[in-house]
This record gives sequence, C-alpha cells and structure tokens, in this order.
Amino acid sequence: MSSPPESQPSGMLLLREIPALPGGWASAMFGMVLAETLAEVSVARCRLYVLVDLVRPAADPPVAGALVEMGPPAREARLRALSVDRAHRGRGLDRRLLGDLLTELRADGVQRVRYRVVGTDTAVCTLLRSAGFVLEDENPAVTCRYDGAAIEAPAVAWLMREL
Amino acid sequence: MLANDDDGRAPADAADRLDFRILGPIEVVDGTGTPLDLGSRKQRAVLTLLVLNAPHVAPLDQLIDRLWADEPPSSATGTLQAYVSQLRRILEPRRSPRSPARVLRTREPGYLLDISPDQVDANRFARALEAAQTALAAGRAREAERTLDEALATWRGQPLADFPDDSFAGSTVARLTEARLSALSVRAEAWLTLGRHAEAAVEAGHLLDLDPYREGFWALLMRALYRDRRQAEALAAYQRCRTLLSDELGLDPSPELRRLEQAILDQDESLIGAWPAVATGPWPVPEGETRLPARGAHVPAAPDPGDPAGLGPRPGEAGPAQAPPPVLAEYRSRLVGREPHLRRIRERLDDAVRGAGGVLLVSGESGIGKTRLADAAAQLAEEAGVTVVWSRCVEGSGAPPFWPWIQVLDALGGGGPGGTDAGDGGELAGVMRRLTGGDGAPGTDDPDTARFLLHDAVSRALSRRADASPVLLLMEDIHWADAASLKLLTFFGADLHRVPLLVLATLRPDPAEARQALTDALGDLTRQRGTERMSVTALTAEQVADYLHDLDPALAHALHDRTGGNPFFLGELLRLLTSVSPLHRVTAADVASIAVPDGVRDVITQRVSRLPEDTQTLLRVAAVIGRDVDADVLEAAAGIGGARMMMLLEPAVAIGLLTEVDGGWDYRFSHALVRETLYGGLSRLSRAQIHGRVGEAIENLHPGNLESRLPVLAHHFGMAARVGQAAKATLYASRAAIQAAARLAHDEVVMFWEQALAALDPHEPESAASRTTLLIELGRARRVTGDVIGARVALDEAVTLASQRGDDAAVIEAATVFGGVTLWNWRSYGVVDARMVAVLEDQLDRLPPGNDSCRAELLGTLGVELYYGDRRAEGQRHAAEAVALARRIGDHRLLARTLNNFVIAAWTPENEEERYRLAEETLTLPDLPRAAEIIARLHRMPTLLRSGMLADYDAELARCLRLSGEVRMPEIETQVTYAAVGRAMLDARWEEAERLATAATETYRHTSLWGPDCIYLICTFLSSWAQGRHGVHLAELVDAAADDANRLLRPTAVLAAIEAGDEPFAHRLIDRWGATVERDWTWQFVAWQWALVAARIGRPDPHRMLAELTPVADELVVLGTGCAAWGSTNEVVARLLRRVGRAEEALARAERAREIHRRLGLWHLERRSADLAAEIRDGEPSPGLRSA
Repeated sequence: MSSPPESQPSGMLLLREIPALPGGWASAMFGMVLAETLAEVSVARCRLYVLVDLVRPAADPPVAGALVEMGPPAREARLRALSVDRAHRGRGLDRRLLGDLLTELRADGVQRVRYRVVGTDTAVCTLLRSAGFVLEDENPAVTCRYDGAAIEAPAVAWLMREL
Repeated sequence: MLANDDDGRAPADAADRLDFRILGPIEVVDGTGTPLDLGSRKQRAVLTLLVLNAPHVAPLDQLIDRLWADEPPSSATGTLQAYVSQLRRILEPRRSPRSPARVLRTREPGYLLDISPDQVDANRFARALEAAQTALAAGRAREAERTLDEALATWRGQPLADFPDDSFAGSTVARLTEARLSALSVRAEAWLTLGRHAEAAVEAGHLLDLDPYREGFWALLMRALYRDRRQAEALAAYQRCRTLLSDELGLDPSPELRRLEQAILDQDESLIGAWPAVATGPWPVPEGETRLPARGAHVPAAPDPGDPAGLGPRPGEAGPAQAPPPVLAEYRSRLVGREPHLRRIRERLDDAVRGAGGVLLVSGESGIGKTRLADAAAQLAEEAGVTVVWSRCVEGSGAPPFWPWIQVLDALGGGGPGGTDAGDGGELAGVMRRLTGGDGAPGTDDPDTARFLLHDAVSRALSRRADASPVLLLMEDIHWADAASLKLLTFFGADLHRVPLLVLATLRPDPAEARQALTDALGDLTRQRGTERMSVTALTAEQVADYLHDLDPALAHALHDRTGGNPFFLGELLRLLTSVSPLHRVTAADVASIAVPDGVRDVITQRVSRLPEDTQTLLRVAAVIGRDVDADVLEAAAGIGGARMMMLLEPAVAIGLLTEVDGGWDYRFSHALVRETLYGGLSRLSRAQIHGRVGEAIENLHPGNLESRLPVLAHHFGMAARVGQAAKATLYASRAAIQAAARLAHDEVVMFWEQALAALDPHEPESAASRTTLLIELGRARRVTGDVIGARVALDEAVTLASQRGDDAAVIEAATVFGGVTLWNWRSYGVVDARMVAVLEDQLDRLPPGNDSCRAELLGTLGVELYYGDRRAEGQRHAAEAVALARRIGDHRLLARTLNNFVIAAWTPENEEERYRLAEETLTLPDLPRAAEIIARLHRMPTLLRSGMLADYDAELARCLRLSGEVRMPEIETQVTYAAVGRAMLDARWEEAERLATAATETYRHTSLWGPDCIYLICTFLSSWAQGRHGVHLAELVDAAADDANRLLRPTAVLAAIEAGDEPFAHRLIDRWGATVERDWTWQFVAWQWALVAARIGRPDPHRMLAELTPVADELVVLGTGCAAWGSTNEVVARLLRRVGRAEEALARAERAREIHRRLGLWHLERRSADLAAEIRDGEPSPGLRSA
C-alpha cells in the first residue's frame, strides 16, 4: 500500500481571539492602528482576531490578524485593520482570515460590518469588495469653506457588508 | 407526517415554550408572548426551513443547496453554522454554552427543531380544519364555524410572506393557501347549514375571485343563491362557469355540476340538505414547470451507473473490471442484518400480488447496502412470480428526462418495434414514444394539460400491464432523478394502492444534490396511502460477525470498530485484507494495522473537504487526540474557546463524521477510518507539532494529577520527541513504565521503556548514561515477560555502553539482571555465555572489598551462568558463597535472590534435598513478592511429586494457579500449567493433559525462553504412548532431537522408533547420538527414557542404567517442574532386571511399583505394573529378547 500523500496546503490554520492589548504580537502587527483605536474606544469594544498555524511552534507569531471594533450601534462592527505577516504573504491568507472573521462575527449576532476606506489601502478594498463589501453610499468629496478659502476635504468612504 | 405530541417529551417550562408562526411573515413568540428578534433575512430563511421540516432533520446539504447554491460548500457550511449558533442563542437565551441545545439540535445528517407539531401555527390550523370538517359532517355547524373563525384569525397575511420568491417556500405556500381556501369553503358550508345563505353566497364569490376554475366554489355559489331564493342568479352562475371552462380550457363542466344545474331547474328537494360533494380541490393541474422532451430527442444507450453503493455485482450481471476473490465473493453474496426489511418487503410484495401496490422508499447513506437490499427484494419477487424491472437514475444531467421511466417501459416491452399490435406491448410502446418525444401529446397545446394527459397515459399503461401480472419496479438512486420523473412517480403513486405494482425506490438521506423537486416529491409521496419509508442503517458488531460466518468475534469487533458497520467500508477493508492473505488467516491485529483503503479515504476526504476550513483544522487536531476526543483537551490544544469549538465541530457532527458522546461534552469519530484518514493526511512534522500541543494541553489541564494520564502523555510527547519534546517524552514514558510495573502490566512496561529509549535525544549531553539506565530497565522488563533474547540484546548493549564509560556500577547492574529471582535458567539448554561469564568475573576481580551485597549478586549470577558448562560444580560453589554472604548481611531481598540463584545453579540430582530445603527457606522470608513465592513453590513441588505426596502437590498447585492469575507473567503461567500437565498424566486424564500442554505451549511462546516445542513433544508423545498410539510423533521427535539444544529428546525419539516397530532405526539413532545422561535437571527423566530403551533393545547398557536408577527406584518420574510425570521408577528397574535375567528381583520391583501405584490411586499405572508382574511371573521373555 502506498503511503498517503502528505499535504495540507492551507496548513493547520485556526482563527483565535486574543486580548486587544498593546504590546507583544498585537503591537507588532498593528502598531499605530491599535494605539489609535484604543485611544478612540474602550478596550472592551476592541477585538483582536489572529490566524495561527497550529503546525508552527507555539511561540511563533500568528500568520495574520484583524482588529475589529464592536458597535454601537448594536449588531454592527467596524473592521479597523487587516494584516498578514510579511513571511506569509501571497498564500491567500487575507481571504481566509476575512472569511473566518465574518463567520465568527455572524455567529456573534453581528449583522453589518463596515470599513472606513483610507485613500491608500487599495489592496484591502479589493479584498473586501471581492468578499461582498459594497460602498455604503457614493459620498462625493465635500467642499468646505473656511474663511472664504476652499479646502478639499479628503473623501470619506465606507465599505459595508450585511451578514 | 408530523410526530404525535404524546411522545414522552418532558413538559417544557412555560417560558421556554416557543410558538413558531408561518401564517404570515415568519415569527417566533416566547412563552411570555414576546416576539423574538430573528435576525437577518438569511438567518430567518434557515429557521424557516427548519420549521418546515420539524420535527424531522433538515439535512445540512439541503439547507446549503437551498440558500447558498452558488457558494463553495466549505464556506457555505461555515456561514450556515454561524446562523445556527446565533439562532440557538435566540431560541434558548438562557442555555449555557456548554449544555446541549434542546430546541435546535444537531443530528446527522443535519439540524432539526425538536418541537411538537402544536408549536407551529400551520399545524394547529390544519388540525382545526380537520376538526371543523368532522363537526360539520356530524351536523355541528356552529362548532365548525367557531373553530374555523378562530383558526382563520391566526392568519397574519401571505404565508411565509418574507420569502415570496424563494423556491423552498413555494410548495408550502401553495399547500397552506389551499388549506385556507378549504377552511373558507367549509365555513361557508357551515353558514349554509345555519341558514345564513346570503353570507355564504358572498363568501363563495370571494373564493371564486381567488380561484375561478374550481367547480366546488361554483357549486357552493349556486346552492347558496338557490337557497337564498335567487334561482335565476344561481342558473346564471352555472352559465358563467360553463363559459369560462369552455373558453379558457376547452372543457365542459363536470357531471356533478351538470346534475346540480338540473336539480335547480327541477327545484329538487335534495337541495335543501347537504349536497353530494363536488370536489373543492384544484383542477387536476398542479403548479410548476414541465420538462417535456424535445421532439425527436435522441435517447442514448443506458448509461452505466456503476455499482456505487452495493457490495458487488447483482446476480446475472457482469461485475466491474476485476472480479472479487472467491472467498470474498461468497461473503458478499450474503445479506446480513436486513431481516426486518426483507420481512416487510415480502409483506408488501404479497399485498401487491393481491392488488394493493404502493411505493417503498428505502433510504440510507452511501455504501450502506441499499442496492444489496434491492437485489434481495428482486429475488423475493421472482420467487413470488412477480415481474422485476430495474431502472436507475444517473448523477448529473447526462440522461434525458424520464430516464428511469424510459428504462421501465423498455424493460416491460415498450421498446420493441411494436405499436402495430393491439396488445400491452403496443400501448407501452405508445407511451414510450410519447415519453421520448417521438409522438406529441394529442389534442392540446396547454403544457399543464399535456402533462396531465401524459402522466395519465403512462400510469394507465403500466397499471394495465400490472393487472395482467404483478410487477416490482426497482428504481435506484431517485435522489438523482429529474424533476419530470419525480412528478410522474408522485402522480402514479397516488393510484398504486389499487394496482398490483410495487415501486421500491432507493435514495440517500442527505443527497448533496437534493433539490426542491425531490423534497416536494417525497413530501407528496409520504402523504399518499401505500407509501412507506424504511431506512437502512449501519451493521452492528454482531451483524458483522454474522456477515463473516461467525469467523472470529475478535476479528468481527475489530472490523466493526474500524468501519462503524458501514458495509461499503467493510467491503473495501475486506477486499484489501484478503488481497494480502486469505480471510481465515486475517487477525484482529491485521485489521487494526492495515492502512486505510484508497476508496474509503477518497470518500472521507471528499466529505471533509466540504467543511469549513477551521473545522477541518480542528478535526485534524481531534484526530491526533484519538478516536475519542476529550473536548477540554481539544479546546486547550487549539487555543480557542469552548463555545467556538462547539460551533466549529457542529457541521462535522451534522454530516456524521463525529458523534457527540452521550451526556457529555466530548466527541467521538464515527468510524475509526475517519480518524485515520484525517491523521494520515497530516505530514510527519505537522503530526509531531500537534502531538506536542496535545501533550501540553493535557499537562496544563491536569496539573498535579497526571498519574492516570502517563501513558497518554508518553504517547503524545513521544510522537513529538523530534520537535523538542524529547525530554518530556522520556520522562513520561519512564514514569508510565514504573506505573505499569506496579500494576503488573509487564508487556506495557516493556513498551514504555522502549518508548522512552526511542524518544531519547542522542544529542543530549548525558544521553549515553540515560541510555544505559533505560537499557537496563528495558532488559529487566523483558526478562520479566520471559523475553530472554530481547533482554539479552538490551543488556549486552548496556554492558558495552557502561564499559566504554568505565561505569562499573552500571556494568554490574546490567550483568546481574539475569541473576534476579527467576523460575528457570535463562540460557538455552546446554549454553554458556562466555562473554557474560567474562564480564562477571572481571567485575568480581575489580570489586573493592567491603561491597558484599554486590559481590553476592555477582557470585549468584555467575553461579547460574556456569550451570550448563564444565564448571557447574564451581558455579554451585559461587552460588553457595552468595547465599552465605547474603545471610551475613541480613538482607532478605538479597537472600531470596541468592537462594534462587543457588536452586537453579545447583539443579542436579544429588542436591534435591538441599534445593528443597532452600526453596522452603525462601518461603519463610518476609515481604516475599508474589512472583518469588510462586517460583519457590514451583521449585519445591517436583520433590513432592517424586515422593508421591500427591495431596500436598495438589494443594500447592491450586495455590500457584491462584497466584499466577495475580502475577500475570507468561513464564510463570506456563510453568504452573505444566505442573498441572504432569499431574493430569498421573491420573491418565490424557485429553486434559494435552489441552493443558497446548495452552502452556501457547503462553510459553510469548517468551523467548528455550523449550516450548521440546516440552510439547514430550507431553504429546507420553500421552499417545500411554494410550497405545505408536509411531505418530516419530518423525517430529527425530527431527527436533537432531538439534543439540533439544538433546534431551533423544531417548524419547529412540523409544518412539522402537514402538513404531523400527528397531534398526533405533540402533542407528543411538549410533548417531550416543546415549549420554547429563546429571542436570533432566537427569531422572532422561535416565528413565534410556532405561526403557535399554530394557527393550539392550542399548545403552542395561547394567549401567540399573546402577543409575536403582538408588531412586521408589521415586515417581518427574521432568523439570512437572511438565511430564510418570509412575514409580521401580517399574523400569523391574524391566531392566528382567532384561539382565534377574527375574525374581524384577518381579519384586514390579510388585513394589504396583503397590505404590495402588496406594496412590494411579489406576492406569497400577494396571501396567500388574501386567508387567504377570508377564515376569509367567516367564515371558522381555519384548526385546523375544524379538532378538
């Protein structure tokens, strides 16, 4: 009898929740974003999900992670950031992480996930759009006037998905 | 059908009693009347599907197919699971996450709402409608009206109003709408009875607005108008109806409606009472689309559906490419565990023969044996003279519409060139052409009507054919049937209870392809009389045993355990096993060790791949934990919370890969094959890492209480030894070994020491020292199990390692392991291990003075080592010195050990008395371990036997038998059994002697000690010899005795040659071997045997044998610790004396033997001695002289 093929292309990945506290992996992965988020909302509303590979030694850092802010309003969550470890990029882990994350949030009763688009992160936007996120409402750049001078405020756009 | 309410369900807390409402948008109200927030639309859709199926399981695949048809199954399963989890929280807000769900349960193959029918408003409505109809029929119109008023008030709008366009809701909405129309018309009927004619007329008008094609509503309207004294309007209504039917459908009003018109014209008095019912049901045109084949569509040749579920080819059909091996084919031809099914099928066939047919739906998972059951049904039918017709549905869209029916018609003769003759064949051929699109349906362009006419034509043709002679129609895999075929089956099924035709249709309970058409068809069929469902489930262990002709219960259990009783898995496993060796040679161990068959692995892998990826990850971790999965360990090893873990594992439970262990929160893999497939799919490195995590999880979960988990920890860390867990692996294996030793689980002790050694990291700084220590322990443990060869390998290596490191203490420890308390010399007969003797002497030379206990151990061991050589006397002196040293030191453990050394080292005839005395002294020592006690007793017992103290011997034997059960060492067990063999020989209980000898040989073979074959030959030879069966063992004896290690067999072989009548051969054997008698433990027996030979053929010298045996003539003959025993030695002395012509002395000896035998009650020996005495008295020459 031939021995079975030894392959598990996706490794042994599993989504875990870890405390969203500064320091350790969390800071290594999200640095500034984490600090900003914690400055804005209480830690009780922050959730940090990581994708770990059980085949790697327990002390290894997670391969990817996501920072989420929970409501209000109730049943709504805001995706703050997504990150894939540099060494593990190109394996489609962002998609896997996002899929797991949405399932997890859905099981938690979350019905809507939003993401605030910042001008530069086109990669995240592409990912989110392919996962069914849509632009919440086409919100053209608002022109504000202060003391007569016209200032072009940056466009604020939200990607949103119903669960 | 919905289950009854009185099924023993515990009455739920009022607040927990939920009310599910679908007569309007879906709504769930809790016990306090508060509607629950059911979440998103998809989530409500999941709930709706569950309500529609309640209280039955909604298969997971079906749910996914309905709601996420365009998503890959693995992600859809995850999404579905998330909704299920959330719904659970909504439906049971007070349930703790760890307690099992009571409302929304997981049950293979999916999920179910465990509620009573009364908890669904639609069911209450249906029940109310039924009650109202009964009340009205009994003349209680007021009650009927009240009941319906209440029931109709529960309608909150369109049923399932949130899902107007979803196909899954369609048929339910149609049925509920229909029920509402019925309720309205029954209520109007009640008003008529109550004289409220005008109201009834208005209601009939409303009903016709809803559905103008129902003649029942028209009849209601006409009667209401007539009774309201509006005859003209009543007649006008009839005309409107006639015009409508004629214009739109080209039909005339039914005879009943025409009679009603006539009655109105006649002002018939019967119009005052109840009027014979005009069907209120819908025009016979069901909703939905029709798939008629395109004209001239080509019908392909029968696709080969293969044999995906059955265990082999059906009779009369060529099998797949390679035929199964004959033994297997024989096993496959039997059908086991399906007796109740067959009984019921036989009853249904009998009914069909009597004219009452129907539909039998046989469901069961893939590989469960549905096809085999269908085969058996076919056979039953043929025996009953019923025509059997097969048809099969094919997966995918490769077959034309009506494919299964085309096959049926073809088989029944519709495929012939017919159409010209007027017989059945012609009619069948006609409908066949219509099904295949050869002929259009005559007379109509309306598709619905066309379909009705087509269905009707096929049904009539088949019914007529069955009326001629009964038919069994076997339709396989209808979960793959096209919608048109299913509709035809439903249509036909409605009539079958009065047609001698039985349809047996097989299907899978959780078909991945389950479509709305199938669910609808099954729903409709089940409501028809004559339809019955039966499920085919996995075989039990007993049934597996039966399947294999009661081959071997252990084997059957092993097979059942690995396959979960799935006949397909079982068949695959057997196929693989029997490709290696014939089934009768397959053992339970083979079953456990064989790799998972490819076919099974593919099936399982495919099922696993449909699960969410995180679930797959978790299942792989679970597979590393084992067949039984401790959820706490899994949770800790995966590092996720319990609630999330449960959520992730749910789909695996739903599709039957895992089962929840009753009452607990743990899991178990449904088949061992599932676990093995998952485990086998992991790379070596992954396995090691996960084992390490699992080991750590167990450690962390039970700090300070690891004793009961040492073997498990040793296993997991052992598997992780190469990924940094070597130290723990060795530690836990060692602790497990020590623990097992305390529990006398000797084989496990060996295993754990071996594990500890295997895990040892060779790069550790102190690894050589650790290795030496472990090797010594392993050697000791193997010695205990009787594996002297394995022990020696380990100890030799230990001595080498310790010598290299100059560690004398370790050398001594290793070298003296064999000097521990044992029953038997560990060397093969006649062997001296020169290297070990040299090591022991070297250590004795270098031992510093003062270390007397060490010296005693070395001397005692050396004494035993020297036993089989020229230096036996010297060894005896060493052993005696060891005893003296131990006495001086006063260490009774050491004394027990050295006494034992002496008893073995001094095992010669002259030392009998002293050995007996010292064995007895051993028994007086304090804290004597059980094993040592048995050994000392066994060393004492031969002396008792030799002196004829049978009662004492029996008492000792009984005690030893009892003790050996506690000690569980094969070596000791063997020797105790041997002691019973000798005793049975004395009593001439030959059968028992042989049985015991066989048993002892079996246990002896578990050791690698010298002698099982040798002793067995002696026992069986003596038994045959005593019973006068000569020559049977000659060849074996001569063969075995040729080996020097078995030289104690030589006189027996010669004796056998003589008894076989071949004296020249006996002489040649003596020429070849000589006739030495060693003065070792075999002396008395060997001397006795040679003496018997000498008395017959004069060789070896009878005088020499006389000199050897006369001094012990009063003793009984005993070999070793009693594995063979015979009567008084006087008898052989008598024979020798006769041989040398001293007849008088011979007679005296024979008489003395007889007297001893008589006194001991050894009747067969007494008779032999008496015969011998008589022969001597009569002066008959001894046999040898006679022939000379």
